[in-house]
Amino acid sequence: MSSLPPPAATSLPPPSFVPAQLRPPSGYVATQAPVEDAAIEITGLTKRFGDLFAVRDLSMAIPRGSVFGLIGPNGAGKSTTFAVLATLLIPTAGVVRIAGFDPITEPREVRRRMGYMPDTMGVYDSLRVDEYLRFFAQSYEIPKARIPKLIGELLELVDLGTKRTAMVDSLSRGMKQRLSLARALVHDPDVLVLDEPASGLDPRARVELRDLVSELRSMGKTIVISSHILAELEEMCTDVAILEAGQLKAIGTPSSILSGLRQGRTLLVRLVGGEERTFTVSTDDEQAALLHRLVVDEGLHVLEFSLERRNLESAFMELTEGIVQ
Amino acid sequence: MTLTINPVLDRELKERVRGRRSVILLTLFLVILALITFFAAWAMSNVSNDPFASITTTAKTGRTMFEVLVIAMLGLVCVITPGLTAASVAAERDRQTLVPMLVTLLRSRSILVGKLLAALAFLALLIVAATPLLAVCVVFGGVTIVAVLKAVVALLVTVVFLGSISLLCSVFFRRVQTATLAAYVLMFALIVGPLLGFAAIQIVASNTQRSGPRVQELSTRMFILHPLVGTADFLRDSHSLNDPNSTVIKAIQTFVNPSTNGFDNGGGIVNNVVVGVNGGGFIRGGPVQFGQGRRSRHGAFWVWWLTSSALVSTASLLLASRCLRAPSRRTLDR
Repeated sequence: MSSLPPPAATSLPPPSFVPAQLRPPSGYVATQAPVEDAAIEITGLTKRFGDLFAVRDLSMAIPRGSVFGLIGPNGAGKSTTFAVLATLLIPTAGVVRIAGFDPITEPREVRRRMGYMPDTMGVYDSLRVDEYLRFFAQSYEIPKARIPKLIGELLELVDLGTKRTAMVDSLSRGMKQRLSLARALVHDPDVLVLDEPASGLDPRARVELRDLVSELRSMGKTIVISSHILAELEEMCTDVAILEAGQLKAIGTPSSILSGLRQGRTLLVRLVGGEERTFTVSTDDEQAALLHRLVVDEGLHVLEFSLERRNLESAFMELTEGIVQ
Repeated sequence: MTLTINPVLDRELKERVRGRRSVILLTLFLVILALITFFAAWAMSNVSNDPFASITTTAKTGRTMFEVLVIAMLGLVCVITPGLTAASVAAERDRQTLVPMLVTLLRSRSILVGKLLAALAFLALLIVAATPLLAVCVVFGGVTIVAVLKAVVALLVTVVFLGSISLLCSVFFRRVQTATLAAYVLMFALIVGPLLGFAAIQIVASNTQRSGPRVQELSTRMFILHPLVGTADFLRDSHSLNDPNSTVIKAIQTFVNPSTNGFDNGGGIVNNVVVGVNGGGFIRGGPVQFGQGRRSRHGAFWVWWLTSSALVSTASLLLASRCLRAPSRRTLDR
């Protein structure tokens, strides 16, 4: 949305130009329809670090077999939520169930069923790729006889089949990220929790990662993923939740969030000379027509009058206020 | 039947063997010990015109070399062990590999035992590599094979003891530098602290003229975890030669308790500290003949040293195990 100071005669009216009755109702209530078959259930999750609430009364259910995106600015509580899921943190309050198991009282059962890839890429540089995976296979108590075949399959899955005997140190960042994903998959978990897996990757590596996530979903895995690249999440995710300051702002399918965000639509008006402005009006076609007439009646030279496409990014911007804890 | 090796130990050994640091450390360790052995023999030749003139003098030379070597190895082990183990968990945290390991099915104690065994394996390699130097002393006489084996055991006990404490520091402190510094401070406190405390007690006792069994027992207790004193008592009965002129130990005694004249009046670190005080020297010797000294009613000092070292090691590992996976910790580990 730009606002250049044009000549007075061709200037667009300010946003208040749109009559009050055209303004859509704002606000979005973060409620989720009941999920019948949930891989992860979170009820009233709260995590406090001293006076700081990293997560506050978070409740949601993640459907089995879904790709669930957790969106939020830095400090929104995504990594804290993931750490609770990964049995690394005990929540201050609330109940969490992963595949029916409680990460506090049954951490080993949860670890058996969940693969966790943290937002940092921790690899042992002085090991070979196969040795790295063997270490984690042994750590997940996989029978020794099965390990060589498993390593081969995993490396094929993440497209690192040719790097089996390469030193981890020699891999590119994207390859290391895929190796980390292979590590999270070594025990064939039902649930995968991926914290910022695309962080620091080049465009090609991101596309490859997205394809890999799709493949994993087709294998029946439930994937919980966080990312700052919202366009990618929109393509990948079947469900998303938006968090800010530890609180849930919105949850649902990307389309349901967009449609429920505001009972309105955004119209773009571009004038000859390049000036453009957006107006948010209700979904009633009559309202859009009224806006069009008002603009034309002003005698402005309209070059374009179009409906602005909404995406997850615009929803994110609209729902969050940039609160930093 | 297949042998299942601890995955952490397996990985650590691979990493350690591949690094250049291990080769450098092993080479330095052996070079330093070889030089020390050489200079010990050379010093003996200066003391006596011909250190190999008779069986007695040859044995004396061998024993002095043995004592110097054991002390040097203990010193080196005390310096190396915290450096090797204090970084182990903190380094995992630094290179962001701790979390992936903590979300596996590995138990905390498995992780820690694997790390301790890896450090122990490398230090055992150092000790075993240096054993031929100790064996040379046997050739000279004055030292038995049992003494050599006991020295190796004492060194390994010291490694486990210092390694466990350093591992606790590694778990407790987040940064490698802090953990290493804390481990060295603790090690220094354990080794130098009792010496200073001992000197202070002796000064206070002599000024107040309240020297007695209680003061002596208090002094003794301070050294209960001291690797040097523990090793000294452990090896005390192992010599084949009863030589009252153990120059190296006499020097230590004089340093610790300058008010005494070493062995001559029964003062000094061993005579005053070792529970099974029998008037012996560092290993055996001194003016009071072996077996003629007083035995403590509490038993041999080395038994207490071994027991307390084992207890502290176990307690450190248990505490470290509890702290490693403490999910309620204040901030997230990376």
